[in-house]
Amino acid sequence: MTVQLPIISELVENLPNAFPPRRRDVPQPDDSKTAQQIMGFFTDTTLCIGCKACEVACKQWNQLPAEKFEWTGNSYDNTKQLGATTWRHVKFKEKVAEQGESRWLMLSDVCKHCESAPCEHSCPTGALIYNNFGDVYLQNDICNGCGYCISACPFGVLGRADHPHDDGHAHKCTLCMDRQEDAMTPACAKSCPTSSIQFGPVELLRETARDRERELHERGNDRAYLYGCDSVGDYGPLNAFFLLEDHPNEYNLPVAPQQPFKGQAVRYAASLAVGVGLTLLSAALFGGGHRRGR
Amino acid sequence: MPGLGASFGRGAATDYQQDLANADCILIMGSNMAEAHPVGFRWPMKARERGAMLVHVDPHFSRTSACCNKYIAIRTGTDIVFLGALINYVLTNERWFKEYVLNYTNAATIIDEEFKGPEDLQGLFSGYDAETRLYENDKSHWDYKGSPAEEKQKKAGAGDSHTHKTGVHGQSLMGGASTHTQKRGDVTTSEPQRDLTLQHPKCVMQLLRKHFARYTPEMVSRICGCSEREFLDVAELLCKNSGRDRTSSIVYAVGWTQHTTGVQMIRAAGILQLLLGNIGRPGGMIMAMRGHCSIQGSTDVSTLYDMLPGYLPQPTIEEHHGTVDGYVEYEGLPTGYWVNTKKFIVSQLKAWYGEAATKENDYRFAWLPRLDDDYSQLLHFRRMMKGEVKGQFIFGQNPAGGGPNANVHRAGLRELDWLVVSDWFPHESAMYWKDDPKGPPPGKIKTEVFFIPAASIAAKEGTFTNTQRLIQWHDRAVDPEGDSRSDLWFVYNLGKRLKKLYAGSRKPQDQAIQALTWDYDYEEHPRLPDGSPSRIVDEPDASKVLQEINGYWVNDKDPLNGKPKLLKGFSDLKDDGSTACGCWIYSGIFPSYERNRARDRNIGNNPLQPEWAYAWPHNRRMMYNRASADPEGKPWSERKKIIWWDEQQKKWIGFDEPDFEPTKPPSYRPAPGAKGMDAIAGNQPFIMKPDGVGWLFAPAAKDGPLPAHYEPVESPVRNLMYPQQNDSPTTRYFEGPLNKLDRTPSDEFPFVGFTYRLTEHYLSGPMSRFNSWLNELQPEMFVELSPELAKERGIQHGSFVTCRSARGSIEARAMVTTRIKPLKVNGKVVHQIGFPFHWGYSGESVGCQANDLTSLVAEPNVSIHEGKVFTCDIRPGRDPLSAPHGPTVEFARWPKNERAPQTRASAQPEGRVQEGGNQQ
Amino acid sequence: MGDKDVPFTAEWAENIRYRTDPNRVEQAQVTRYVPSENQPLAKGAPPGLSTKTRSTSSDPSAQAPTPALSRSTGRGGEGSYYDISMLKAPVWKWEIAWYFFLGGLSAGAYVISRMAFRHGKEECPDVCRTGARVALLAFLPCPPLLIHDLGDPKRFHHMMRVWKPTTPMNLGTWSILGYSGMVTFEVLRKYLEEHEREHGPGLRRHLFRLMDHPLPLLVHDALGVPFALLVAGYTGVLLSCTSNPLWSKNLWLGPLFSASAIGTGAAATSLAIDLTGGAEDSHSQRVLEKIDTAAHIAEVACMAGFLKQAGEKAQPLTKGKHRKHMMVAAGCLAGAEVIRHLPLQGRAKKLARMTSSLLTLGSGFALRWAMVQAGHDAANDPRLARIASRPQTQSAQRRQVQSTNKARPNG
Ligand SMILES: Nc1nc2c(c(=O)[nH]1)N[C@H]1C(S)=C(S)[C@@H](COP(=O)(O)OP(=O)(O)OC[C@H]3O[C@@H](n4cnc5c(=O)[nH]c(N)nc54)[C@H](O)[C@@H]3O)O[C@H]1N2
Ligand SMILES: Nc1nc2c(c(=O)[nH]1)N[C@H]1C(S)=C(S)[C@@H](COP(=O)(O)OP(=O)(O)OC[C@H]3O[C@@H](n4cnc5c(=O)[nH]c(N)nc54)[C@H](O)[C@@H]3O)O[C@H]1N2
Ligand code: SF4
Ligand code: SF4
Ligand code: SF4
Ligand code: SF4
Ligand code: SF4
Ligand SMILES: [Mo]
Repeated sequence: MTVQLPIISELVENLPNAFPPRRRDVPQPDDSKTAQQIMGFFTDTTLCIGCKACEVACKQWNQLPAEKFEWTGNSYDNTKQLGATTWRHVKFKEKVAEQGESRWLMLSDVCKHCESAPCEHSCPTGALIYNNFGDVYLQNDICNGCGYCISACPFGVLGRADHPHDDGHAHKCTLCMDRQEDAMTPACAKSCPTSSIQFGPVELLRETARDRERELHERGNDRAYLYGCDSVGDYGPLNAFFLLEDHPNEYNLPVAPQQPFKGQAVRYAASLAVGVGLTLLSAALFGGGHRRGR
Repeated sequence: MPGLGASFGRGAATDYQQDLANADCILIMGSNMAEAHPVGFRWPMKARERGAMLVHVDPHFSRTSACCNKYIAIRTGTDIVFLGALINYVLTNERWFKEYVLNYTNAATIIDEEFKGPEDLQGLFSGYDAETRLYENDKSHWDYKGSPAEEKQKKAGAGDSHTHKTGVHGQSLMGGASTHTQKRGDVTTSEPQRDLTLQHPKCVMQLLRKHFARYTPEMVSRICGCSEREFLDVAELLCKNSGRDRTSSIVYAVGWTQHTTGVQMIRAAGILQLLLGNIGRPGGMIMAMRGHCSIQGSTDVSTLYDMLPGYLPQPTIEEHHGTVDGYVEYEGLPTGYWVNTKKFIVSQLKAWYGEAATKENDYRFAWLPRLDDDYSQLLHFRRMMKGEVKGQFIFGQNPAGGGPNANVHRAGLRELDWLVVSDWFPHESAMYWKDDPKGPPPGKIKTEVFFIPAASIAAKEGTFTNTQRLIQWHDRAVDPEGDSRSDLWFVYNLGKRLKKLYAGSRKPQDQAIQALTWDYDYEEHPRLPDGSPSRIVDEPDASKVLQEINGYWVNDKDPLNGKPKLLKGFSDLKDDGSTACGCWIYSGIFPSYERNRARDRNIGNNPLQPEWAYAWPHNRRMMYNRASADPEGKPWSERKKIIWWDEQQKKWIGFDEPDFEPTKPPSYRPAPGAKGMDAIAGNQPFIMKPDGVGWLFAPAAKDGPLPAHYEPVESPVRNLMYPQQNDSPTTRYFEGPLNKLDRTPSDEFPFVGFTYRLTEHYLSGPMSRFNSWLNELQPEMFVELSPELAKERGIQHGSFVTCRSARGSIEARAMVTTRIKPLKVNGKVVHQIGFPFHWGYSGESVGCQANDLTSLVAEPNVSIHEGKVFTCDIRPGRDPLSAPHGPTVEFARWPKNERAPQTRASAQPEGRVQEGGNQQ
Repeated sequence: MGDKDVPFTAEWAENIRYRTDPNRVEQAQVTRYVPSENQPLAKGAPPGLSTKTRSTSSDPSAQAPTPALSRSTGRGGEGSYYDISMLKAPVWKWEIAWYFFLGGLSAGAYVISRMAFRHGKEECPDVCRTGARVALLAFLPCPPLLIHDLGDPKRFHHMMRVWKPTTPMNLGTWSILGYSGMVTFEVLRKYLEEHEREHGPGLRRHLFRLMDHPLPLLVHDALGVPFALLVAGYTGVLLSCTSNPLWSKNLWLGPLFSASAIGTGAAATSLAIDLTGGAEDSHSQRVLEKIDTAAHIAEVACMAGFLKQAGEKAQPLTKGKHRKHMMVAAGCLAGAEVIRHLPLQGRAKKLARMTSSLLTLGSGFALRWAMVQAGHDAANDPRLARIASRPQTQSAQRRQVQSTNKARPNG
């Protein structure tokens, strides 16, 4: 990558962003009923028809470019994974049986808007925040592209726009914060023809999802289960969660996402212990010489 | 869609799509609904989630199959065997809906004694003339016993036959006779001889039993390649889910129509649904999924060469079409709604020629162009290829890519002197002279090509009519960019110039143009939705066009504005020239100047949403809905009710507009010899039919009154059903150097190729392959084949392959997938290869065209091609000669050179916002 | 019309729910998933995620439903998604490896220099002086490296718009800032000390007096040494706070980097002294050697701990492309110790010492390089990503099942 020399005017322009004002500018709820609702997604793969409308709607609304034209041969999935320019991504997995049931798994993947998000935890600039809809939001005018969040996310969601003409920032789903502010449904959920993507207050969605799972079980579909509706180990629940019908790895999802920051203090302590130990040792060695010298 | 017209009376899907959610079982066959109609597919999904069973019968396992409860792989082009066997299953196991069939179909009707079917005639129906490859209807005896035609044929005997013009499908679309050479009403009678015990050997029920006896589960497994078990499962599902309390639906699209037996496949579905009592009832329908957004509109207000708007046949050069009365005598029907034919045609002539059309001059019927031959697309381009066509306008079509055997289409375009293409993109048909890898160098092509940029959908107003006959208006949101103009603008201004050109002429042939009513100018300067005046000054007012289509009283003025009063509906129409109406079926859409019903957008509690836009006819959402009630007018069941007879109010009430005379009681019986609608009894729901019932036996199509299985023109196996008759006897072939056919099973082309759509692309591709968001999703042409075939031919997944048919060769990537299964057909393994047909040599993503492989043959009723099936071969390796030179448009990464949006929330503190909330 | 969507109410949620029609019987029972008779499908979700099955094995994938797939298309086996990893490779490249090395070295040299100042002012003034200079010199390229590594370098200052010590990168940034102040202070102080006599009284002299006062010096060390130790080790902690299979949650990564920082710091100081004409043998050098050896022992122990904890996930280091870098790191380290302990005298001893220092530095860099680059491979390896995403211990799995049970009312 070439160094982009800061142009003076741009620097000046960016100055107000360097130390932007704080909390008092957060929109205050005028209506107590609408406040405090965390908004999220419930993506039900049993209803997905693989039309990719969500993927395109997201690109269109957010004016994201196509990444590249590459025929992968991975069934009908030619965009491979989420990234800086693909914030919704439809996965395809063929499971054709010689006899009996043939299936074609389809899942519309998205940032999980984790309730305790490693990416938000990692961000050194505070570009990643929980916004007033409870969603993990990447403030594009603050991110400086350090890339920590990219390695922190256990779902491989984030990507950095590193193309020569790109801004070099990390990008991910905003949960259509701009649309939500205008009381509109996120573009992907809006375009989903079968309600495979359902948007709403997560509390309500979790209820819906549990109902749905129960109903599918009652109908004999024992494979259906919820993924991320509840916390998994030390990993809190996801605010964009899924109903799956196969092993999570089939959808390229982690069986049990890890909370990488857990035990951070211990690791600091261990690191400092070794450092302090060696420091004390060297002090002793220098001091020892001193005593011998006397 | 004559298949539907022949069975029920109107050539359109019988119901609205949303109603699929009410079905208890849906058979999707010949349609890839989830991929080609993803938005509509929400309704089958909803039905599935309510517990309905979805069955997909298709050559390839598609996204639709993945969403269905059951998927059955069959060999392309064998649907009549499958459907015929379903009919046979229903009949032999006595699973048909007795009351429905007896009252609402022609099961009891007795047919001409002389009629013979394939059982007697080795795969042919009576009346076949091997020389003309046509059924001579003077000798065919397909008519009702006691009908005028039968009388005539009795008298005539053998010998004198007429010349037949084929491909003229205006009438059969709406359920009349199949040619113009005899009166449309002659083959039937409103008072047919019936045998309600269904025992008469020539009654329709007995004919059906005899005809379909051959269609057994065993035949299904031998011909279609699926197992008997699979077939029986489907049969049982359909039967269990039909009857008083249940309904099943059938969904089809071009997987059926694009076959030489396409019309008959749809007919077979019609017979099945009539036997099961699944027409005109909630959740019971045949859903024809149509294509382009207003393709239904383009058959309604017809752009077809052989139809006038409103399904009135285009007059021909035949003598009896010389006058309005002659035309009406032949094309009208004495009973049923078509008795009004004269009102329709006279009002249409008044709308077109205004004051110049009077009773005295026969409403200038003589000015209408006359047909002398088949001018459908395939034949037209063949003529072009022979140099018989000098110039051509192409509006919004891409024949060089989407046309079957595109080689012929491109060869045709090369012979033109001039070509005008009005389109959004410089596609294959506009750039063939330069970018076609298989064509001669540009210097060798004489055609002068004009490219006219067309306005996009958001930059023009008008209506479109969808699959379920719903006419929806859209406003103009913005002005068209640059020099682009709407198609309406183009046609209107072209017309104006022509009128100017011929203004002074005294020649009789120019009078029609002089008299044409052609005044659609805006009365005040048009405005955009934001109130600003439009930049375009000479744009016509589309609502004026719609008003003319709706119709008006010629002499009755609206007191408010002094303009002619608009018609309230087609029941207002008169045959004395006092009404004008551009298209009778749309009448009622603009009942007054203030109300454009296509623009209605009210959502209420009625699940049919009658105030969302306007559905022809007369805002009826479910056609033939009289059949949802039993003969006495009571709903068959509480669960499946939609309209019913109310004894108190003495009228039909319910959720939908009745597709019936609103006050005709169920007990009404016509007096002998009654004419028009009076001849339709109170228990006869199919009012477009002269006898008021659905036609199990339909003397309407050109290739037989009952569906019979014939192999596709190109097939690797012979016809096991009728060994003497391999392919459809009435198919027309156009063999030539550019259109070679492989008509016998050959070793050279041992595999079956079939074509289909992907969600990500649109048709021949102009609308999607210039869009990087879509290209990214499906960036390259590929073919789908089974691992078994790949092994046989040594093909690696993802490598390039060359596919050949008798017409040419193309290269593509190999998608080796178990979604395509090799089939066992009569003990022999048949491999099928799937071709998406979306690529071409223009655009941001380019690839070889599947249509370089397809053949040009024509089905007899509608002259449709067999784009869905051909024989081919596949080999590893590339085919450099057929590969496009490269993208004609560079892929630009940021679509509008804009970066991702800047956040408005930069003021947010880091960390969780505790007291968040919606902004007001 | 339609630009505002339906508000989020309970009725609205009702609308999007799919429910079975209560009037439907029979077929409602027949579902989409009818296993064929000869190939019964394992039922239920994978263990740990569903209440339907309980896991006893530690490897959940062993219990994954066996799908009905018998005719595979080839690419991507079972329980995986083609060849695509579920994780993203880090965006950190050579700059970061260099920064890890130089930053650590600088911090190590600095700490040693301060210890020499505190406890060996007389015997080892050279260590004190040279160490500070090495620290500054090694530190100088760090900010440019870090800035260059950013996707948007002109926004490097955004790192400091928040105080967020919970993220190592932010804490690290502040530490670097603090540390850079301390190093500058120290180098300036040393400079003034040396030039004080020549220039006599004046502004600089006063400044020096101020700086050399015990109180500022105490504050300086009370802040500077912790900053330096943070700079030495936070990089390892930073890596361990990622989801990268190689690094994730590894307790030993921070200590490893700390130890390596002190070791390379000592080696660099020793080398610098030798290069600037240090004696063939001196007390300072002996102490530095001992510190280095101690650091090396710690390093080896930490590495062993690291590999043990990472287990299979360390394959990119032990088996992959970067095995050679790892071997270089280990070889250099061993070589350094062997050469150092050769019974040599005089000039040869000095040469051996210099070689040993160089080898230590090489080892330190190779370690950082291998660690960063192997991280790329680890994240790009779909199998490792899957392994890293499994419940790591049996008890974790049990907890998981319990928590899912609690959350689901119908059990
Ligand atoms: N995304 C997208 N949507 C579209 C279009 C598009 O190009 N792209 N085109 C629009 C247009 S113009 C139309 S007409 C419709 C068409 O809509 P569809 O007819 O649904 O589209 P196809 O995919 O061409 O064909 C349907 C299915 O028929 C199968 N088939 C082929 N031959 C046979 C056969 O002999 N028997 C049976 N049972 N099945 C067969 C194919 O495998 C395919 O799955 O879609 C419309 N919608
Ligand atoms: N082998 C095979 N061949 C097939 C089929 C198949 O299934 N298999 N399907 C067939 C079917 S069903 C169809 S419908 C045909 C379709 O074939 P075509 O009718 O050729 O359809 P398109 O390729 O979409 O071309 C439509 C053109 O209209 C332009 N356009 C869109 N809107 C406007 C407008 O408002 N004004 C103007 N002036 N232009 C506009 C678009 O840019 C595009 O270039 O292909 C047929 N060909
Ligand atoms: S999925 Fe990844 S990017 Fe999304 S919130 Fe969770 S950690 Fe952050
Ligand atoms: S790349 Fe941007 S969003 Fe991600 S951690 Fe760094 S500053 Fe935060
Ligand atoms: S919520 Fe918005 S940004 Fe996120 S995936 Fe959906 S459309 Fe894209
Ligand atoms: S829009 Fe809905 S149905 Fe279509 S791919 Fe996305 S999630 Fe699936
Ligand atoms: S393209 Fe338009 S008509 Fe076709 S499915 Fe999508 S929304 Fe419906
Ligand atoms: Mo079509």
